[in-house]
Amino acid sequence: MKIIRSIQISFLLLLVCQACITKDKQPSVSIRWENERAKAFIIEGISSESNSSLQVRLIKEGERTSILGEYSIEDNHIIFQPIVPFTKGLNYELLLKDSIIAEIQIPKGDLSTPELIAIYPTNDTLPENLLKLYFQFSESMQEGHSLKHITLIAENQDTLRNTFLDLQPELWNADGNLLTVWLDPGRIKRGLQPNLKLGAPLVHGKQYSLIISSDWKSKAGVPLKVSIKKNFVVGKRDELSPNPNQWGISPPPSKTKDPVIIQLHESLDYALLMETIQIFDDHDNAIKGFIELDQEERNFQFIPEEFWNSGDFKIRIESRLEDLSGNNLNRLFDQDLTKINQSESSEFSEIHFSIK
Amino acid sequence: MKKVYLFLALVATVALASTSKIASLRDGFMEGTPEVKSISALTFGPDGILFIGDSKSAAVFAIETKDNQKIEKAAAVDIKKIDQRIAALLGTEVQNITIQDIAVNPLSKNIYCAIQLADGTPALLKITGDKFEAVNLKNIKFSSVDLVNAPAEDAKDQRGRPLRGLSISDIGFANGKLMVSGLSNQEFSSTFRIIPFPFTKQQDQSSLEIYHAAHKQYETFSPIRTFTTSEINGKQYLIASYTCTPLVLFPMEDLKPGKHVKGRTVAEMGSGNSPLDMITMKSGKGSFLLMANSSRPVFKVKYESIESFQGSLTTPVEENFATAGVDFVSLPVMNVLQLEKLDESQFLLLQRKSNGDLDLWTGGERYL
Repeated sequence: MKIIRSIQISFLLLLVCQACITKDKQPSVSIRWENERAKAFIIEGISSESNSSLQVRLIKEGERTSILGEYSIEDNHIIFQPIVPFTKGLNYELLLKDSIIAEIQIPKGDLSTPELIAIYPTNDTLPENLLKLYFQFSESMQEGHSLKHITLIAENQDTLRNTFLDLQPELWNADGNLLTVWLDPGRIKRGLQPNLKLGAPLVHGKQYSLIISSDWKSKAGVPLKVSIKKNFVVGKRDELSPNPNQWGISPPPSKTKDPVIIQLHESLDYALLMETIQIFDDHDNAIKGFIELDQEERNFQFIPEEFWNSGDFKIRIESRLEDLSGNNLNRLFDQDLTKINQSESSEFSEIHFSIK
Repeated sequence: MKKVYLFLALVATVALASTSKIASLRDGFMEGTPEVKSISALTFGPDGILFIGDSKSAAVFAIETKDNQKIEKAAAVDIKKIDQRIAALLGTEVQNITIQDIAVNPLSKNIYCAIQLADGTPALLKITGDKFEAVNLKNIKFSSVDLVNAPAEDAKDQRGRPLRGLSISDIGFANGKLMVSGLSNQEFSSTFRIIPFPFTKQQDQSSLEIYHAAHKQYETFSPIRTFTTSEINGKQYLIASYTCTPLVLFPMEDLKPGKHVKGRTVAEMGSGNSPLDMITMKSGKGSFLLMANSSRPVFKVKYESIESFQGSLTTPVEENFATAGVDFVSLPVMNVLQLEKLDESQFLLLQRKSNGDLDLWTGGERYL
């Protein structure tokens, strides 16, 4: 008896659905793509009044969940836009009045494989009070679980814990391809409990390996090509602020586009070097150009867009420029108040050079 | 008769005053679709106005939720495997989502939950009882404030990629002002801002230089990770925890633009531990600070102990992993990622259970 009733109900549903489907076309669903993301379903062949009877469900491990989104009408088609894009590789179904009218798999597509282009600092000897690392990828990476993919091993045997600061949200640049990871500042700052009890995260004289797992995926869902290993040894603490007055400057000849080379005599912070140094002519006009860093971020090269004119130039350095240990032009990362000699803090430092 | 007229006149005046007060809260609101690129932190202001901290845009949006029906007591919430539930409703898998923040509307007691997908797409959900719905951000009334003055020529590397990023670690609203703590992806510095609300076009934000002194010997800039506000001894205080663990107090009246402000360290919450979230709760037994930690249980600190702990913490703690300063109680709840006040006597906990499930549940009087 039960079986007969269910058959009757199905038959009824089918009749109802037939009424919703427009006469000239069978229902079909296509995917609307925007910036390689599956943003919406375009549903054709169903009368536009029926959108209140539609439902899109995620099919996963035998379970079906109706997903959140909104329906709208465009050119007589029904558009279903979920509140976040559909996930590539997953399966969805479209229901009209509880009957499945389409099953859709979101294709994974032909996607590029992300690469880890660089880990900054690029040095193989790093100071004991190293504050941060930058990871530069070829494309936007998945966010939220980055520390799961980064492992630090000491002396080829001990996997270290509590070394990096687990921050949510993580510190990504606007494009999502440069990640900043801090070594736990509580362990670097002298006098704080984590420092006194656990010690600094890195120890002078020891060897370390930083391993980046190939499980790390791009935002498009493609994992890194290979896992990456960076080996380094740890040198002594850096307890001095960078001092631009001690930098060396190699001026280029005039009427060339040769770089002006600044020898920093120590490795400085990659991201800040790229942003805090500007060159001005003697009329205070900023010179447009490109920056290149080499010799483990010890050399700063500025290549102008236009030919150099002869004359006097100034290099303006924002005081927030830091070395690898968080010491900036104005102050040290942790200032010993018993030894302090308060110097004037300023927003900029300036050094000069001439082109003949 | 006269009395009646007077009474009516009074009622009319009060009604008028409260209408204009509510209207002035929305000064500068416009109608449209805010360009929210990420939702890192949430907090409610008055009258159902929700503040959204957007790290990717380096901005805070104030949005009209129209969710302002007041109820006194919230129903307790218990949602098992909330991450899996949300992932399915968004049509994706659990590994693709991160719950960034949870805020409770103090009027309606509805729960607002900020989600970020692995591809960076943000989503905002409202939870009423057991029902989840998307919060509409299209064609709404809103205003916004930028947190950084964009450099004249946006900083890019030689391949033209922008390098700068800001991460909003917490936002809060008290005494008509919005407070925002942010971390830079470049320099290690504190970017704590106090922004008057309603927002004005004029940049009237105070950006503070916040320092931390360890045992009166070393002093450093200290980015604030999480904070709350409370009244202690009749004075308003900001209670903040740094990325480097100490719990510090600042009198709100000291937080003035451009000032070098040093917090009074009242406790260090243990080595290898990082405070994640904090709220203030009251019960018949007093007023408490509840603090969620990365590798410790939830701590409960009595504000009375903070009041009586005068002076800064000066002597290092001898015992390994011990904590110092004011006394506190460890509640028998581990792995709590988010805490939020639900109503006067209940609070929400987002907890990773020992079986791996992520549950949202309600704590009440028995913990206070």
